[in-house]
Amino acid sequence: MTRSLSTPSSLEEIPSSVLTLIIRYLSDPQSLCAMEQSCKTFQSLCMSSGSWGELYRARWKSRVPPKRRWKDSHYKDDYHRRHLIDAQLQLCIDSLMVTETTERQQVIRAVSQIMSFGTDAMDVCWKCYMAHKTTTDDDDKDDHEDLNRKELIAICLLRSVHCAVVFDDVKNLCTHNSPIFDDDDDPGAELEEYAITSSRMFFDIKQGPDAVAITNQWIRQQLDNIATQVKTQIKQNPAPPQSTSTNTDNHQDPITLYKLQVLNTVFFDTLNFSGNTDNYYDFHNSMMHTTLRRKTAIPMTLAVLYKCIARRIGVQVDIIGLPGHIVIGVPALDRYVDVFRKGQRFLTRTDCERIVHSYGHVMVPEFMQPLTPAQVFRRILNNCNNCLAQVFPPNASKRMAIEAMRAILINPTQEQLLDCLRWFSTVLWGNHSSAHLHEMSRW
Amino acid sequence: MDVEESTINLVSAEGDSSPVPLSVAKMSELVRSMMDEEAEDDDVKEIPLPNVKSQVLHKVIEFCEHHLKEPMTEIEKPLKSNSMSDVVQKFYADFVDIEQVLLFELILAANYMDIKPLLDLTCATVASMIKGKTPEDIRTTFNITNDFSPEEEAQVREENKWCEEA
Repeated sequence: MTRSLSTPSSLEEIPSSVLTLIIRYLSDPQSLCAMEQSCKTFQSLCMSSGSWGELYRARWKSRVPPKRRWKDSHYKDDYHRRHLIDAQLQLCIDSLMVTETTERQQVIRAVSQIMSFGTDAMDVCWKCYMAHKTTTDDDDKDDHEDLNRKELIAICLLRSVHCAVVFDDVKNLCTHNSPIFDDDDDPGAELEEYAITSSRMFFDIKQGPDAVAITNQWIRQQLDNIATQVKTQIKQNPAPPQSTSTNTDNHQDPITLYKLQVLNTVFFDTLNFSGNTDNYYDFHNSMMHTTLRRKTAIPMTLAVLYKCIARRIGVQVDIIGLPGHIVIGVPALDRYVDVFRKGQRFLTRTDCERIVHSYGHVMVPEFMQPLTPAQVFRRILNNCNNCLAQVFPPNASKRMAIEAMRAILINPTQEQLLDCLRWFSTVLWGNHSSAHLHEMSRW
Repeated sequence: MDVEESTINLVSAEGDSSPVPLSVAKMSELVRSMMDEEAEDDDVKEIPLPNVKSQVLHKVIEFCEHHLKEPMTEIEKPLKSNSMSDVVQKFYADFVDIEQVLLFELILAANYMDIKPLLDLTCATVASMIKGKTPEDIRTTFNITNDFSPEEEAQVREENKWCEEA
């Protein structure tokens, strides 16, 4: 159809594809709403343009649904919801930021309310932190001596909210009502989820409101990369090396044996993963992301990483919780790998017995039972708990931090949990000077 | 083609012919496809554009010529700022600082000739003009008739009320 030559006197003469393009450029919800209210054509175009999704993603980085999961009307409804939440959050934050000493009850109410919004509060808290931060990004060390009060509050809020979300997820995982396993009964995936969740408490959330998503992705990417490295080596040299083992090993699965030999070479020799013998009680040893960076950790974390990679190259291994030590069990080979001691050779059952004896125990068959993902999870949390007990000086803050950890395991009341969380986030990440702690304790 | 760049004549609605370097003319996907269709025919020296008036065509050519020298920054959706000078280079911000009638004609020409950056620029400019306007302002500015019944209008306003209390 040929368009008439007359001057377009109305926007309606413009094709709807072009009108949609205009709508998608609108910078704010007020403009979009005003367009919707001007006429029916615009109303329907606004609700099919994808603009609500784009405005949503431009405004929030935390808890954003995957692309194409939602329709425009969902985005609009949730934009509405979060828009109102943001306003409430801002009120709470403003009330905390006033200079006069605030009433303790009032502070607790404000903090609790902010934390109750969970992930939805991350963007506002992060903006608040950005508005008040005085230190540079390079200043990675947690030395908060120079922080002013507002910055300190902003950091505490950011961390408290983050903790509240993680603790919620942890509790869900403990009671196993998390939806992530609905369509996936692969226990390997479950373990990975547990391990990443327990590390999440220690993610560097100062990177931004989407730091959690980014770090999650980074961890999985690292695991994929290592697995790819192993697979490439297997492909380059597909023939299993000549078996020099004795005839007693005849029942072993040669392909699994070869795959694990390559995995051991890559994991322990090339990448140099090893046990952290220098600083065993550093809680970073329990964290997936720090371990992937530092290549050194306690047996449990190394075992979890090993299992995650083995799963990616199609080998099923177990995590065996010997008293005092963790090893990897390989059912197909009836052998064990000591991940803490760089897996120099495959261990036998007798070797494991020796380890158990060295810790002053007598071997019973239960020791050799593979740990379930939930058991691994609880052990990781316990390890963190023990590390924190070593790290913090014996004062109220330490007690509260440990109590917070324990709170996950014993299903506390909401009030206790909140109290613990506040202290936990302050103490654990803040490493504040005693003066600051004192100030915090007056809240 | 190692000879000096050949030109082609773009012919406006009024019949005015504008000689334009091939590279400039080919920024229009319409022109490009018309030339590809008749690639065998060396005599293609004229492209008729019966939907584009001379005044508008000159603006379009000005845009395309400049775009080859200094490509326009990609405009993000949604707009980060409603001031076009924050979004694109000075030339382009000045380029769309024009009468609304001409702006709409440029939109139609960019759409018809299929010149993506020009369509992006002009549409983004219209979007930036909507900021701060009431539905009534929008109707007046763009000459739209209100086809909501009073009840419907009240309902939409009620649904969007949260937004005004920003």
